[in-house]
Amino acid sequence: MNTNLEQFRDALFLEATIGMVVVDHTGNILLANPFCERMFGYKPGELDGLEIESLIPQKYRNTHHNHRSSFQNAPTRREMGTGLKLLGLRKDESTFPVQISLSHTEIGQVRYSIAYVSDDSKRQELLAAMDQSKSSLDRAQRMASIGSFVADVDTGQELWSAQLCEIFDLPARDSSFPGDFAYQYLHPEDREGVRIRFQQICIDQKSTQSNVRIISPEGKLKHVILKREYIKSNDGTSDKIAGLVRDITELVEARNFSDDVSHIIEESLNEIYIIDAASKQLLLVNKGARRKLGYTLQEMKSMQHLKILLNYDEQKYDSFLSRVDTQQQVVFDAKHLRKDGSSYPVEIHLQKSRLGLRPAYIAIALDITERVEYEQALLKHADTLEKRIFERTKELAKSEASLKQALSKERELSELKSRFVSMASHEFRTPLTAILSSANLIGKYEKENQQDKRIKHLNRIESSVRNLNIILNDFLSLEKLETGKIKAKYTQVDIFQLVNHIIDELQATCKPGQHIEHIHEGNQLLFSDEFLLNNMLINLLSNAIKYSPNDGKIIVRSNITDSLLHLSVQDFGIGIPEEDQKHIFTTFFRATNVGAEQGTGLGITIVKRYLDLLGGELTFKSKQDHGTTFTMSIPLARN
Amino acid sequence: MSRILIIEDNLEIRENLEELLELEGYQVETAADGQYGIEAANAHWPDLIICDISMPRKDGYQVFEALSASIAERQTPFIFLTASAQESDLARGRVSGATAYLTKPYQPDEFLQYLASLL
Repeated sequence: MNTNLEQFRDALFLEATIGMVVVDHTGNILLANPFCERMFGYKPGELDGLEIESLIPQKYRNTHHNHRSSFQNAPTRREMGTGLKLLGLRKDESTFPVQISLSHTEIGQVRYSIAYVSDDSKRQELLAAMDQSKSSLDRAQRMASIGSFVADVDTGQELWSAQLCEIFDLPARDSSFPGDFAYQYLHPEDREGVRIRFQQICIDQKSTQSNVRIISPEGKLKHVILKREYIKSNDGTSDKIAGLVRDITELVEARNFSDDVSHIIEESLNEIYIIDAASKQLLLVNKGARRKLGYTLQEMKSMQHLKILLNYDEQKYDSFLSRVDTQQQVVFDAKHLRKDGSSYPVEIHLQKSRLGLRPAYIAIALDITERVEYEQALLKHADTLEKRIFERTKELAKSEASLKQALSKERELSELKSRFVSMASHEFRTPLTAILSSANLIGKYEKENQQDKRIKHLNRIESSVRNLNIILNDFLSLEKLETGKIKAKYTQVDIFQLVNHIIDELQATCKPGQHIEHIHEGNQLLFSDEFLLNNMLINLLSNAIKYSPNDGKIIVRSNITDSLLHLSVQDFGIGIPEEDQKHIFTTFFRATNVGAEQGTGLGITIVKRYLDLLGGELTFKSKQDHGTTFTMSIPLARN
Repeated sequence: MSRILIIEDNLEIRENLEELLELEGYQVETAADGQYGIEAANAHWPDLIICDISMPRKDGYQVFEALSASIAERQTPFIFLTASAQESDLARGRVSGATAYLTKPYQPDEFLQYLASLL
């Protein structure tokens, strides 16, 4: 029997499926069973005599050494390293998790420690796998915003998932709570319902689902769906209720927001239209639009949007839509046509959108009646303003023109004066030269028999003085004319007598052999200005004499018709070259063929000015080397 | 005795000047416009030329231009005698290169003294 028992004890040691190792007080291995040897990868007997620390990874050896000493002093039977992950070191230096419990024995007053070692790898792997699946579940719950709990029907104790804690804004970890823990966080109005349904499910064991509001510790309102399911136990433990809690706060808020937006749109005073992009029919029309246009919602649905736009054809309408397609938004002015046929101006903002999955356009119309009226008033105002400005400008232009005219007249006059001075200087110097030299020569002819020379020079002086006088008169006349000092004075004139008198007067200035003829026709008496007629005729006759050769004939014709006096002077002298004829009325102009004949270029100008005073005209006919005829036509003044 | 050419279109002035010079004993030739003046000078070169400016066919400046080579070569005095007495006329006359630019009316005795100084 004893032998048998000893054999059993050996078998227990040799065949145990747990590692056993006996260590003496110095820490050397006295004995290890085969399972232990295999576990650590040693051959039979190979562990005997090794330090126990050989089976421990290097970095834990020192610590173990200390633990071992204290255990030696006060040995108890216990688990080793509770809560720690212990590692064993194999002979091949690989490590593996181990679980160790310790005991001790004394044999012959020597204390031995016994360690029971089991390989913990499998259990650790399982734990890791569980951890992983737990965290996947947590992750899944977090992502779905779904929390879960399990409630014990008998005790009411609940076990919450991390995500459920999070939904309640509690520290996120798996937690166990008493059955009525959650109620404090429920919306007061929802507490009773939740409690009643819990009692219900315990009785009828049917699943329930309800919407519940949570007020988190921070006071945040959350919406959740609470699903509960009764789970009947079949292993003798108490029945459970499994619960799922889904956070639908965002959804509810989004729905509320969309309800709010819909409400705002519907109530907006602007007209809002949603148009189906394909059919161009109205899909939605807000109250503002219906009220403005006078249609009911029913009437407007499926109506073509184009129908409410006045004076828009399809082509124009489509062009706006296609612009929206490229430009996001198009703003344009139009007129909306009411149901009763009246219309009003609107500014339409058209943009692309969607209604669900349907491509659509949104048109927002603003009534711009006031703006248009204002604009029109403004335009009208601008128009009158423009007209006034135009008129003012015209007036200004007019006064500017008259100013310019006055200025140009002034300039003309000033230029005339400067030419006048220049001409006067030149024209006066010539006769003065003759006078001065003739006078000097007279002084040199002292002898008795030189009387003819003296007379010649006296005559020359006389004629030069006369010449000077003519020039002086010309200048004075012109000056008077230009400054408006001469006015026509009408008296009765006998034209026949006047002409003959002038011819007599001028006879003295004629060149040798020249003679002047007078031919008169018609009445002799007329009303005119004798002084002006006299001067004009003298001027024309002086020219005729000057530009005719010796022995030349000059003819003066006078004739009075019903309404006109014609007075002409014809000579057969040098004539006026054709190219000079167009300049003949220009002040100071002298024809190119005048040669040495003295002249101021004023005669014709003076005649013309005098004629202006009488309302008459001056014409001429001339051919170079054949002669010239000047004709004055003067309207007869009524008495 | 020195020979003087008078180029002047005005009859009275030409004749009076001619008379004055002849009384002084000068040998005088006359021309009634610029063109005749050039021809007369070239035909029989004078010792001194008196020339008007404003004349038919060729004016005094054109005459001077036409004769300038000979005038320079023979150092012949050339005198403008003119009624053009505006400041602008005088300025032009001064730069023309003529010996003198005298304006009408001239004082006969002073004029004769001046001519004598040139010859």
